[in-house]
Amino acid sequence: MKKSVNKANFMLIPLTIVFIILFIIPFIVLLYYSFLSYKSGQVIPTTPYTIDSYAKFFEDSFYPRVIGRTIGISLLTAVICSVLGYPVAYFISKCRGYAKTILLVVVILPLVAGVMVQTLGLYGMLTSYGPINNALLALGIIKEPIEFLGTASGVIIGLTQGFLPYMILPVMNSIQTIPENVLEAADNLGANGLQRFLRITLPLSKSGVISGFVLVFGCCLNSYTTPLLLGRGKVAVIGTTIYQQAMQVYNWPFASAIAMLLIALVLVVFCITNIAPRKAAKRQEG
Amino acid sequence: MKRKKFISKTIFSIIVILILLFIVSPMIAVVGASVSNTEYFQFPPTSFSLRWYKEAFQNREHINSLASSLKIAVCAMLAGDLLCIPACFALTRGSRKIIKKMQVLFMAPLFLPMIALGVGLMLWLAKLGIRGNFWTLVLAHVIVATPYYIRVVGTCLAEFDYGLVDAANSLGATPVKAFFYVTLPSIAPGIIVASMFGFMLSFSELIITLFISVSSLTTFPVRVYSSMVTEGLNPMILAYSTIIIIIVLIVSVLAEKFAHWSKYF
Repeated sequence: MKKSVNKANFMLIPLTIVFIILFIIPFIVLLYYSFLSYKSGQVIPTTPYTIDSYAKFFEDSFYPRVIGRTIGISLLTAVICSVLGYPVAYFISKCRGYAKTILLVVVILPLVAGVMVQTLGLYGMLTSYGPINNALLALGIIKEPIEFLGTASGVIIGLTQGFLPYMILPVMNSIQTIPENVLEAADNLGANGLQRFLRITLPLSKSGVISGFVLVFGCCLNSYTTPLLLGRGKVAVIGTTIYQQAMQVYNWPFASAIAMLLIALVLVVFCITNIAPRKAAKRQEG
Repeated sequence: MKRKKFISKTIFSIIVILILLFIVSPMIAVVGASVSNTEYFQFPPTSFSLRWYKEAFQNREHINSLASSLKIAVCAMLAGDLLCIPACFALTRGSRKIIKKMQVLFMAPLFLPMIALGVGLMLWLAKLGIRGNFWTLVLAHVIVATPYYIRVVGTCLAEFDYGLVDAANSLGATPVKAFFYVTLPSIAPGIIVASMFGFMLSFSELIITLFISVSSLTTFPVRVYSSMVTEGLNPMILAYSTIIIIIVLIVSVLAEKFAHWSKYF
């Protein structure tokens, strides 16, 4: 029996080798580069190792503000996604048959079609001569076209559109796991629709909202394409700053240092949120 | 009372439909604007013409990048199948201590910033002197798709009854025969869905490719990206995107109807 268990472990080897060479080592290289020094346009690949790159990041308020902006945009996007995503998730979870298939395809389509197609469409929609501005002008709501592109508002619209599915799907799954007889019990005990929703459905689907929120927030922190294209390079977030330092300034130690800080930020977010729901669950049990 | 309920239900449905419309609006805009006759992005189109499709099919650079994207995506899909499916088996049958650690490692690409991996890979591959190598690009795409493989195929294998394999073995089937006649057919939907994920993720991957590909190996997203940065929105690209959207639409309807792939997200 023990022999067969070992055999199964061997099947992990090929993928693990790929991961070591193209996943783990690159992160170690990144860490190594972040401690190298960079002088007059040259990376100096020898000792002494320095923390210059990290010091540079916190030297003035520009780069810390980039982090602040990224967190702000991500938080706002996650909140908007929860508000917009919940009704959709609720609606789909109550649908059956072909209607459900069609709605799910609509929700998943943006995820599968890829970020480039989405960004292209949004870019066109949000230009000053685009359909959104034209519609608002025709309705007389605004007098002059709003500049969405190149501002944080355009980036937030883009991120919301792109990551809304990440909110809808977990919330939908958690609503679907609520047993039908719990809802019937609430009805029989005289709760109206609103009471039933606020007292039963919402608390029982909280875990889905939390995981959707964390997923959207994390994805926004890591995002790069949407802020760059819809922000037209004017909205500096962590992702665009890393790219700029690595591929335009060629300051690899600094780019690596920012990347390490981003990794640290993402890990902190996921660790906190991984612990928080468990603690809440424990408290409920106790 | 009944009428009040009806009204509130209708309002709720309208809100949901508006939000869903928001989700698909960029794709509708791309498809609509691609058949417009103007030099710029126009939606809704005022005139119908296929001139951008004509121009799209005559542009060698874009056709080449589309071809290399397809080639990379097919290779990434096959490599993903070959690497990840055995790993999924191991994750359901291997010894527990190893599994837990490997599971964390294989799911990590979902959470860690891919832009950081892009920078790290670029520096590491430059050190090795193989930056722009076709197979490193393919394998990097496999890494991006691994979490999806693990979840999709893993879910299928978790539901699979290994007693059936034991039964086949005791009836005299060789392990190979048991695999091809018993295990493979019952996890086939999962493998198909996972392969589609692998293909689509590789086909639309931008960030890592941007860092590690070279000009001779430009993929379609990278070409679209660089043309958008330098010259803005080109209606010709909308024509390509429309074709991609239609293919994706057909594939996702089929995949949802026959394999319920939304449950794997």
